[in-house]
Amino acid sequence: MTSKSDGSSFFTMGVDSGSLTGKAVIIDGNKRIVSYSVKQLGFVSQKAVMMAIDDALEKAGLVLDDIAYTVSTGYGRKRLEIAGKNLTEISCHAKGANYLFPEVKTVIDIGGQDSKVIAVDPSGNVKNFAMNDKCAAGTGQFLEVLARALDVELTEIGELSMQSDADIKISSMCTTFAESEVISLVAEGHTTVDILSGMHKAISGRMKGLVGRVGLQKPVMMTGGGAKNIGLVHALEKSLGESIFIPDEPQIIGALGAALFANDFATGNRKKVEEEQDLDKARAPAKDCGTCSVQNYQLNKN
Amino acid sequence: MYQNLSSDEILNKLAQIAADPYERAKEWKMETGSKIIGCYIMHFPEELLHAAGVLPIVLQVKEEPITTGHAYYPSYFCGPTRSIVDQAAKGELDFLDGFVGGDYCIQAVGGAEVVGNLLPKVNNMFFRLPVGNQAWTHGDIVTGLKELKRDIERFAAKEISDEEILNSIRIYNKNRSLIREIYELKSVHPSLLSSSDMLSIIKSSMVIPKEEHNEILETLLPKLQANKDSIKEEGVRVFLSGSFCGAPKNEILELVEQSGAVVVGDDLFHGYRYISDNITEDREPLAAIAAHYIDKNTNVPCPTRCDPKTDWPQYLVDSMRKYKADQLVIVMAQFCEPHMFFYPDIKDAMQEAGIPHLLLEISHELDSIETIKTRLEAFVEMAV
Repeated sequence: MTSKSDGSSFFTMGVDSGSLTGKAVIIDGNKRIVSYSVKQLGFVSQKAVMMAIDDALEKAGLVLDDIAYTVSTGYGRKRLEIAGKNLTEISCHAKGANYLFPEVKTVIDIGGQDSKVIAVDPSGNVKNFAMNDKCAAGTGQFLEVLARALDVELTEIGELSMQSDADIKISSMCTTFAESEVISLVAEGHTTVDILSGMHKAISGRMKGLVGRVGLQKPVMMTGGGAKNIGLVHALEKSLGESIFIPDEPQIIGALGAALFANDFATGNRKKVEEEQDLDKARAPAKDCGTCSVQNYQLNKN
Repeated sequence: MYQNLSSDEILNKLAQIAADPYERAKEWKMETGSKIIGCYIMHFPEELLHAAGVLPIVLQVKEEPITTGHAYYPSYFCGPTRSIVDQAAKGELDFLDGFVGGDYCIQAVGGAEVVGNLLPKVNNMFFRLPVGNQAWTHGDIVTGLKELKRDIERFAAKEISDEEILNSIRIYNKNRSLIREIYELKSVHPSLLSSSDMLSIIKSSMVIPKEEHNEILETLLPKLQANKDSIKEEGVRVFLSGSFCGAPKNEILELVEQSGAVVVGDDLFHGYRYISDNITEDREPLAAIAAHYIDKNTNVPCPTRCDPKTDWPQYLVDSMRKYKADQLVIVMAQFCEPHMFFYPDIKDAMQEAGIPHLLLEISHELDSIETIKTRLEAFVEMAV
């Protein structure tokens, strides 16, 4: 029998159907991570998502029927039929990051196709966010294209770039043009290591602009596949002048957030939590009393 | 002819007119043998053109990709100007007899020049609308109107009497009043009409004879009023701002609503900005039209008018409160300089007032709908 008070036999799942990878996280009623899985196949691959779900279920020793509620997120969020609700990866990354590190105020998510900067409040709600507009420059896709141009494994580029002291500038804001810029640099005789370092500097410069749009608030956490790239993390820390907290499995933060939302929905806690903390009012100040100085003050304080 | 239709059916008809915006004008030309003048968005005294017995239509941005027009106008200029240049280059504006350009932004001036060259058989006119709001501004605008009146009279081969202008003002005022009534209904019952419906109403008004549009609205309005009590209201209340010259894309408007929001008000050019107030009927007509340009800018400030006495950011803060809106969504046409110039002030004003806002910079080619969808949904989730 399911026991919500105990929590050990009550499960919810979060599924992140990203542009390049599928991720699933299962948590129990006490919001402890029971299992997770990350699978990569192709663009917004349903197969990768199903594989991740099956893998996470298997690791947890569960079947789909054991899952009380599922929330989906990511590019393919609307296509997952088993999900009771879908939410954007922005809300989910904020929630997941806050769960792992409740003090976090800024989340930088570099995913396959998007990069996002999210300002998070102490309850894990999104206060503000900025997202790369149109181009994939500065995203996982960008790194994959350039790693291919340089004939280097994606998993190696971080470590390799750390070996460089050179100051190569890759100016282009566009993935396609950056690729030709990289080819020119190769032709000029620059080493792969130096070019990789320049590439990370270019991305971190771009991310700094995105951070500026939201406003940098410490502490900062980085999530998404991009956080697994140590070279990029270092370049970003240098350009922001701040140390960045990296979770053990940065790729599952969105799915973790989705699993936490699933728990909230399944237990009916979501609204209750907000009412208790009076956050709803603070986030929608114009609803009833736009002139209320108290809530405006709260917002400015946050 | 619309009497037996339901409100949804009427709205569908208006959506069809809006989707193919020049078709009714072409028919009208065949029926009447009269002339059509295309107004190159945004501020034109349509009443004055109407008084000459011609049909003024506001040229519309088409959603199709720009192809032939690339040869005549650079890709880093705004979508609305590029789209109209493209239409002219493709021969789609050959049905026009006259064309009026304006100088409210550098891209519009350039675009009007190019269109003039591309349409050599079309009478190319210019409306000089001085900016600002100083002691001399009203008089200056009247002079601009007189210059245009002189050109229109030559074009239409007839003199325009004050009585004729006043009559046109009455017809246009009626149209604005009717649309404002619909706006009032929608602000109280936002789900009564989708924002795409509102767009169809305004857009169709810009491209067919106003007399016809008035008739349609007079039929539509009571039907909408009758429906209002059956509508369930739910969703995050959003105010839409921006989108000068060109209509915001239906896709974007639909995404706003699909994200869980209802649109409770707007200051779009293809929206409240177009009908925000009437021209006074008890004054010398050209003086009344000139005063209208100054007054309507007080109602809904326009960044191209450079009016030091108006404050667009503050207007937005006030509107959010007036319409009890939770969030502001700003739709900015990519490369729209007047809008870009004001955005930092709007951002500051919103932050100071504690109003969440989302800026969507929309390119004509709409290259990344998925990103826009995620941003809109995340924004609405912030308020749920």
